[in-house]
Amino acid sequence: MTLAVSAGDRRGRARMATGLVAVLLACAIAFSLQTGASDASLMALVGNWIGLSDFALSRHDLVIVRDIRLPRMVMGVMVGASLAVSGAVMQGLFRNPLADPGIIGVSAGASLGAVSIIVMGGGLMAPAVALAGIYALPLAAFCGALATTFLLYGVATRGGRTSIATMLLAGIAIAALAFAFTGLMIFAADDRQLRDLTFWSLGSLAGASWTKIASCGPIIVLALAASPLLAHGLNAMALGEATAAHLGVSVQRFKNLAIVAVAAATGAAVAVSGGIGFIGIVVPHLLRLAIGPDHRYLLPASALLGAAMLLATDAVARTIVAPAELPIGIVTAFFGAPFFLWILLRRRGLLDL
Amino acid sequence: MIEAHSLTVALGGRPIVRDVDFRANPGEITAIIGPNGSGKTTLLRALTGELPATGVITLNGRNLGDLKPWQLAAQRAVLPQSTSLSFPFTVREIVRLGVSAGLMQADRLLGERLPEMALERVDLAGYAGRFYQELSGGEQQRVQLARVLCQVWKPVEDGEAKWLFLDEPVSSLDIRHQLDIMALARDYAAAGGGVVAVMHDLNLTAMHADRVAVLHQSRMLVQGDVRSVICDAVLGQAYGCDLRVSRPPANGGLFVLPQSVGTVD
Repeated sequence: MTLAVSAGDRRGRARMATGLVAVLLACAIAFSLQTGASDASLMALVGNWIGLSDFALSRHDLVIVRDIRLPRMVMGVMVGASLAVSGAVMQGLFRNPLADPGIIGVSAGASLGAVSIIVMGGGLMAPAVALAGIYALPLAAFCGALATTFLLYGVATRGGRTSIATMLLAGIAIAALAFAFTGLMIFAADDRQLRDLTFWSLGSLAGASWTKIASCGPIIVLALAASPLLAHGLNAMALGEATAAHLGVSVQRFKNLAIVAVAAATGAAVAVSGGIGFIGIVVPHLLRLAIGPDHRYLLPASALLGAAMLLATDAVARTIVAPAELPIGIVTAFFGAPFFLWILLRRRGLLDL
Repeated sequence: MIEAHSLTVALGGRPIVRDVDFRANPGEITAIIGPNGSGKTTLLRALTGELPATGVITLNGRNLGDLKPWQLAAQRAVLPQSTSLSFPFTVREIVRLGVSAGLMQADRLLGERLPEMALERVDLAGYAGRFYQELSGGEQQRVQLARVLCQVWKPVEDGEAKWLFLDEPVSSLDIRHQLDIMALARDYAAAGGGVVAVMHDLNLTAMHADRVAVLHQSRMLVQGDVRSVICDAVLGQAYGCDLRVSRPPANGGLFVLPQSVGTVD
């Protein structure tokens, strides 16, 4: 096949890039397991596992890798993948490259849900917490995210067309409202709850544990597994809602599935890691530049690159001021906010703001 | 065949199309004409299933409401007036969306070649690698037409006609491409497919349509053979001005008719 025959076909490049990003993620995983405040070495651990006993492995190192670094890595992968895929799906759904759960208030809604459980879990919501067990926190965050996403979609979309200005402004209003309710919760909280809240809202992977992974993992895995079903619909939606319907997409069902998937992924990620912003905007945007906007490739590649980028950022966050740790949300905002501005300035003509 | 009986479409509580009967046959181009605001596009959107309507619409004998979106997508394709894009797709990626909507499980080899073939049909050979957003309005319209063609590539399949719905397909095109696109629709109908087009240009309508439906103030004024509809009385009533069919300007003024292209050397 000559070049001319496949001009404009970016599928090959997309597959290659996905492979490349997968390698990148593998490196990030190794790096994440290797680095930390303690000098426990990954090489030593692997050597020990495969039976090369040249490396002496202390029990101390084993515990550090197995109970601290490994859950942290797994959670980083899950949270990074959910944030990036949520961003990509939401941008496709709203037909707008600036839509992101963190910016348009969905994360704020999820936070409100999570804070409600922390504060009222012992009182008003005790029966619900008893019923849901360790899933109470991610489920509450999911509900908060779901409610805000539906509200936002209802407000910003008229006649199948989402107004970008309305969406961003409605997002600000909804986030402000959610923050107000969150503030009310914090005001009502007692000392022990305040401590829980503070730890949670710092927004980092520092509190990673196997229990947390068990609580949010199933929701995240389900949402990510559902995302490939959305790819064709998202591609068709790029031509507008009416044309998507003409192309055979059952638009209403597709939108509901997309909103639930985004809310689930965002909610679960926020529940275990607090607010980590901008991964959902930076990752899909970079990938769109590299492989184009075809969601069949964009979604899996976003999951991989999102995971890799969050692990890398986490490594920066915990080594830059070692032995202390910077909340990861600060690091992502440092890189992400200027990036957001850059997209805005570069595409000002294309966005009907 | 497409048939609609006592079709009423209301938008925001106001009826835009009132009690309309409509019929389109395979193998023909059916044009919907009428003044601005008479409900042409609304009627088309109801016929494609995009807008909810009261009344009965059947497509090839089946009730439109009973067909699932993907079944409908395999039966008919729709060219909108204009399409804005939210992400930087290439022309090939856009056209391929039509392939995946229509053929589905049909052979992959044809599906891979189809975008090129369709682009050639709309005079955009070699445009596959370009970015859609960088094209002119007329070129974008033709890319969309190529996408639509890919969706219902075979005018007849399993003995059933496929349908092209075109909403002002030539309004943003120069005269040469207007003629090309109408000829393309002509070929599609000649091969057994059905074409329903909302038209503004009365000359192109007179030249290419087999049947013409005239809407006036939300109602069907008349529908029938092109020769019976394109006449002074009907057009005068529909458009509210004193139109004369097939009469050159009285004072010898200039005029350019698509009908005259290539007939005089």
